[in-house]
Amino acid sequence: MSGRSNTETVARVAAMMREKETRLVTIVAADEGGGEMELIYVLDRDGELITLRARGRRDEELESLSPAYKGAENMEREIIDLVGLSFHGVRGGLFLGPGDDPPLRKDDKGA
Amino acid sequence: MIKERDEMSRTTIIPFGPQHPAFLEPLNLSLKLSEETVIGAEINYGYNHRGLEKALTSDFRRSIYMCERVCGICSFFHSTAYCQSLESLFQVQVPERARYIRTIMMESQRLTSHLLALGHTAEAIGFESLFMQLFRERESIMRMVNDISGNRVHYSMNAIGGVRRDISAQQRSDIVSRMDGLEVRFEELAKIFEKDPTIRARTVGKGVLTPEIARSYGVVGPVARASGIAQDLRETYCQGLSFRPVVREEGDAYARSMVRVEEILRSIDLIRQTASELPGGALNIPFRGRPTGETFTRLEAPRGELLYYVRAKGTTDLERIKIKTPAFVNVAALSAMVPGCEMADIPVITVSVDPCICCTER
Repeated sequence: MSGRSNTETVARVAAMMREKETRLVTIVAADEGGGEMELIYVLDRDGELITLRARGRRDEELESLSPAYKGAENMEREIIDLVGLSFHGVRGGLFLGPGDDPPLRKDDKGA
Repeated sequence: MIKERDEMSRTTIIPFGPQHPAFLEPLNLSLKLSEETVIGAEINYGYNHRGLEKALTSDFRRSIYMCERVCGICSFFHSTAYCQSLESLFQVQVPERARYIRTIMMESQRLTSHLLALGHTAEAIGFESLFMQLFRERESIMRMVNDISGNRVHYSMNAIGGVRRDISAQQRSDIVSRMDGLEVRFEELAKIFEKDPTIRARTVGKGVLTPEIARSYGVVGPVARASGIAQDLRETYCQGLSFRPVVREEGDAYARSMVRVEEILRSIDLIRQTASELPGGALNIPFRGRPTGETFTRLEAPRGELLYYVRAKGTTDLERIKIKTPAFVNVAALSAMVPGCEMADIPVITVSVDPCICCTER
């Protein structure tokens, strides 16, 4: 598993999108336990899937891809709701209300 | 007098939905209007979130049942993507006959989905007789899939390793003759969609999504193809069958409907080819043990690219399952389509995206 930070990965994704037509398919966020989180940026380039991975801590504010790519905003908002991460300049509340527990956190209620 | 005119043209916020006759499912557009012209829109979700990504991790064998219920319109695509993910983790090679049967069922479901979207568009325009005719054709496909699977909506045909039900020689012949009949009747309806002055007046130039904006939102499926983006995943997995994607350049509500119209004819052709060339052999391959590893699976669902990410660690429970649906990205692009349009155009533009809130929110 890559130990690259989210800031580095976001910069790489943005650079890839600038240099050649590349579409962000989705961002997968997974709680690894112990406060460690993994983010997988899934990209489509010429019909081929490319994945870039990043590590982050649950309590840190992560760099957002939304300023570079409009389509990332709802993906990040969903991650805020379901996994409980935070992204710089992005608000949650896409699907869940304020105060709802992120259901995909491992060591929270319901996990 | 000037003061009075300024007073009349001040901006107003109008809530459109979550319960609205134009929407089949709950979605709210907060529209900013200057007189009758929309100058901005905010999309509000969260009326139908079911937490399915959490629920689906509970038992990999039972999750086929649940993932087929993510959406009633593209249910078979969800169960196929899920089964393909597990087949990849178990390294199971699905028999050729099962692959063909899956293709027949997927393309049949694309027909029901596109006919629903077009019927809904006709209804939003106020063209009730066209809506009825499209739903009559949809009903004939619903009966066909019911004859094959025993179900109209959730087919329950898929299994990890293949399919659970076969298609008999009699059913193959019935499928081909139904497709022949549907093609003739639908070509007449396609002409109405293409040329009717009312439909053109209500859709041409409405809700334009330029290729640049379409790319910035990452839209997929008919919405992307109507904006000149030539991506259809069927090109990668319909190998051996004659298929080419439908692409248009206009990017408006008319183009989105016409892409679906032409795709119905392509699906009819694919179903006929697949039913005619259905190979013999087993329906499924058994698997053993518990899944381990991670995999990404993509399919071209009726609304566009559907992606399943599954991660397993050798237990009955799955570690993580992520479902990226086409509606999740397509619905968001509405906020770029509606500025500049009239308030009366909102239902048609919204329906032209074929929004699915069950898929969007899961």
